[in-house]
Amino acid sequence: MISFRDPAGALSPVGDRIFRIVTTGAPDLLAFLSSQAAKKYFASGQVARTTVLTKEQAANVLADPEIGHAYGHLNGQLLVEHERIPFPSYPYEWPAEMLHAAGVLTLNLAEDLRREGLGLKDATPLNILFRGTEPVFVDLLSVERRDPHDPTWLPYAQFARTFLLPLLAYKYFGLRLDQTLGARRDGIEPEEMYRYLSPVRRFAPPFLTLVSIPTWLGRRHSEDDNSIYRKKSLDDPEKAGFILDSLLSRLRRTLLRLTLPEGGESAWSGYMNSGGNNYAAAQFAAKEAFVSEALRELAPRSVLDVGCNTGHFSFMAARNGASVVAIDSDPVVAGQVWRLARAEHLDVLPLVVNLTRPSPAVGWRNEECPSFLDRARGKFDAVFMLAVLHHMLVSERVPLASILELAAELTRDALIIEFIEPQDSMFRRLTRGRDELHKDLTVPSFESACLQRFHILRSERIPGGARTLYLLRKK
Amino acid sequence: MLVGYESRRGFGADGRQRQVGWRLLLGVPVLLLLLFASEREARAYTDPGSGALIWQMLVAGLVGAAFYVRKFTSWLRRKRGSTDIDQPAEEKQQQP
Repeated sequence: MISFRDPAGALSPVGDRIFRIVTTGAPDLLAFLSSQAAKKYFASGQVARTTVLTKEQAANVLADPEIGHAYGHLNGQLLVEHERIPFPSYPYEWPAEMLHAAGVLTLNLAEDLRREGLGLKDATPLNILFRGTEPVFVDLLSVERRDPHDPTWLPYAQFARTFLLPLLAYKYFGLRLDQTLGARRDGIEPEEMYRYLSPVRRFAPPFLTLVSIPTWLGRRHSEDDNSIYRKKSLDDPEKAGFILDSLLSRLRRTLLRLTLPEGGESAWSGYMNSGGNNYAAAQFAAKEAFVSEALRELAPRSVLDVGCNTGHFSFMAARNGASVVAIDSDPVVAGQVWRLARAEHLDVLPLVVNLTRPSPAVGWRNEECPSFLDRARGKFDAVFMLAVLHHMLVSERVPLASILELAAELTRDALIIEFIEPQDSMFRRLTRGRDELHKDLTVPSFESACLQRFHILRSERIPGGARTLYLLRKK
Repeated sequence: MLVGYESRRGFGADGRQRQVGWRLLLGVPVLLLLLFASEREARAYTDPGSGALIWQMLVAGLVGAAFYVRKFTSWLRRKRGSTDIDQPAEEKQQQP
């Protein structure tokens, strides 16, 4: 059981299939499934496609003792099956651009649902996963039938905490989403951000309405006064709808203001075209040809690109028919990869993940969001480690044998790895004089380490440099 | 109360709507200054969402007032529009 907060139902995976036991949420879910919004969003793929199981189908599934027991224990009313999203990812692994896209989807959905008398119970990015570059709303039990006389949107504060304030913190203070959403399940509270604002900024938009006013009002509000939570009801449902639409469009305007500018800069954003990298054009062409040939030969259907930078090789793999997860520790380059892949409709999921400090398992019993490695192990036909090994070896001091061991856990079949000799100028830049530590790292020692777990299918030394490309196959 | 959230009454005359609008325009900055000046420390059981909820209600009050203004102006426009269209028809009828 991986979901438990919502009493309306619980998610229950069986093997590769994702089921949801629906309890008290059954009428709301059925109302949603028969709505025009559901048709529209299922067709576009922006809501996880869902089917209600017939009695017979349900009986077959419930024969599995685990889900069968859970269904009985929870007093299940309905069993539905959701489409499986290939690689689940969490908001603290997304570049800010993806959180923004998830926010836009949440508001679109809230607006479309309102027209049919429905609404969202909560508004958190945890309700959304990404299929490649596209957000998919997966928590269908978040949809409820609304009282048309009620002008309040209760998830307003949560939307601000989990979408707007983390985007604000990233845009204005450079705080990455792992620093904000990774440490807090329910986002940044206005009171917390208020403490970090200068007196002038407290009065400047959008901080004034998103941070300062809620902080001032919240502090003046008596802890024992529950009257504000009482259900509001206006005589005129048209007026309630007008108020709600106006709130949603204000949120949309705020979100639009937090759009990140294209071409953001970081230490790594200009790596591929500034000459900051170590490749002459001919060397890069040789590397490209090596990877391209390997892709043609192996035709991997799933690829993990470790240290993807601008995503050049991820895009090559995607164009070759692979579903790619592209990871990089730099959120700016991951954001650029997302923009480019989205513009070209490539099946690439960019994530801000450093393989030497991968996202841990978080939440209750460390079971709510599994660690990156738990999601990634054995999920890829091929793993790329191009121009990244020296960072793991030198900056993070991870032993070579250990890196290859992890690579062998991640890939089902192939590993394309670039070996960088210690005399390479980039390698030396990282060692900062501690050359002694890597004196035993040579082409023969690297190859013998590879042979522990892999067959070497072929290798190619990039002409005029201290780098060699290897195509390895798991033993 | 400065802003009536559950404003069930409509506004009779246009002048009265304007007056309320001005009162709100002046009232909001004054409210902000008062809130800022009387800042309090958060305590253990303070609900972080309560401030945002109260803010949502205050704005809802303003938007609720705007709803009536819009309703009134669209009614006015409809009325003017209908008399403009009706005029020639009536004239035609009057002609023998």
